[in-house]
Amino acid sequence: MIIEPIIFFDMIASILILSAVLAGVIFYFSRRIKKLHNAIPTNIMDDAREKALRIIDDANGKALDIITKTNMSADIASENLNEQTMHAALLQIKQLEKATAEFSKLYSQTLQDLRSKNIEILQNVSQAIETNASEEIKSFRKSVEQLTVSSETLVKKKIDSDYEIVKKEIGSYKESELKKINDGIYTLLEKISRIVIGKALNLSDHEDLIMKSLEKAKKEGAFET
Amino acid sequence: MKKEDSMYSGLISLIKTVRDADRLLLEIDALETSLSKPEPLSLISEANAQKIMETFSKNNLDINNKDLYRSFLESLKEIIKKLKVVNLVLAFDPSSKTIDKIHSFISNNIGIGYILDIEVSESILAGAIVICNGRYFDNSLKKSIEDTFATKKQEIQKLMQ
Repeated sequence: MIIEPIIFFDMIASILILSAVLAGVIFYFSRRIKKLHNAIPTNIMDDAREKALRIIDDANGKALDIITKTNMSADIASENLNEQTMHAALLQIKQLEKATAEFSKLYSQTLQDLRSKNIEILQNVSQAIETNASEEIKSFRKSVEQLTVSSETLVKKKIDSDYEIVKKEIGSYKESELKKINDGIYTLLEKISRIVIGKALNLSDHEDLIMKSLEKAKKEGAFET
Repeated sequence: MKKEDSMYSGLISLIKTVRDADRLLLEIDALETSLSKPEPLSLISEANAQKIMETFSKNNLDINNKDLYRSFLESLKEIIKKLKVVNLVLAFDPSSKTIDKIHSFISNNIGIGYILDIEVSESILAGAIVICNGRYFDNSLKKSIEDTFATKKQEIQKLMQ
C-alpha cells in the first residue's frame, strides 16, 4: 500500500493531538478525584479510588492500545513511506538517469556540434590566416625585393660614384707622386751630372761646348739681323 | 758702323765685353778731365793709350790739339755707347782667350760693333745661353739634359729600375 506523505504526516499529527487530549483528560480527572477524595468519606474514597484506578488502568490500557496501534500504523506508514520514498527515489533516479542520459546525449551532441563548428571555424580561421599570411608574405617579399633592388641600385650608384672619386684621387695622387719622383730623379740626375760634368770637363771642353752652343744659336738664327 | 767711324776700329776692336766698354768709358772721362794736364794718357791703361796713339798717328791727327782730342774722345764715347750687346750666360768665368774666341766668332758672323755681356751661372753646367736682338737661345748642357729627360723619360725610368 502506498501512503502519500501528506496523509502520513496528517496521521502523526492526529495521534499527537489525541495523545494531548488524553493527557488533558487524565489530568482533569485526577484533579477531580483529588477534590472528591477530600470531600467524600474514606470508603467512598476507596471505592472511588478503586474505580478511578480502574478507569485509569482502562484509560492507560486504551491509550497504550491506541499508542500501539498508532505505532503500528506509524511503522506501517513509515514502511510505506520508506517504500514510497524508495520508489520515488528510484523513480527519481530513473528519471534523473534518463534526464541525465538525455542531457548527456544532448550535451554530447551539442559538444559534438560545437566541436564540429569550432573545427570548421578554426579551419576557416586557419585558412583565412594562411591566406592572409600568404598574402602578407607575398607582399613582404615584394617589398623586400623592391627595397633590395632599390638598395642595390643606390649602393651600386654610391660605389660607382665613390669608385670614380677614388679613381680620380688615386690618378691625381699617382700623377703627383710620379711628378715628384720624376722631379726628384731630374734633380738627382742634374746634381750627378753637375758633379760628373764639373769634374769631367776641362777648360778646353767648356770652350768647345760654348763654341758649339754659339754654332747652334747661329743655325737657329740668333745672329740674323 | 759708319765709314767715318772706321778710324775708331782699332780702338773698338779692343772692346769685347761690356766690362771693357765701361772701363774705356771711364778712362775716356778721365782723359777728358785731364787733357790740360801733361801726359794725360798715362792715366789710362797702356793698351788703350797705345791704341789711341796709333789711331791719332794712323789718321794724321794732332794729339796736342786739345779740341780735336776732345772731339775724338766724344765721338769715341758715342760709338761705344752705340755698340750692340750680345748677352751670354756661361757655366764658368771665361779667360780673356776664351772671350777673344767668342768675340771673334760673333764678329765673323754678325760683324763688328757687338760686345759681350757675360753672366756666369754654374747651374747651366756647360754650353751657353745666347740672348741676341731680343731673342733667347738656351743651348746649355742643363737644357740638353732636361730635354733628354723629357723626351726619353720612359727609357731613363727603365734604366733607373
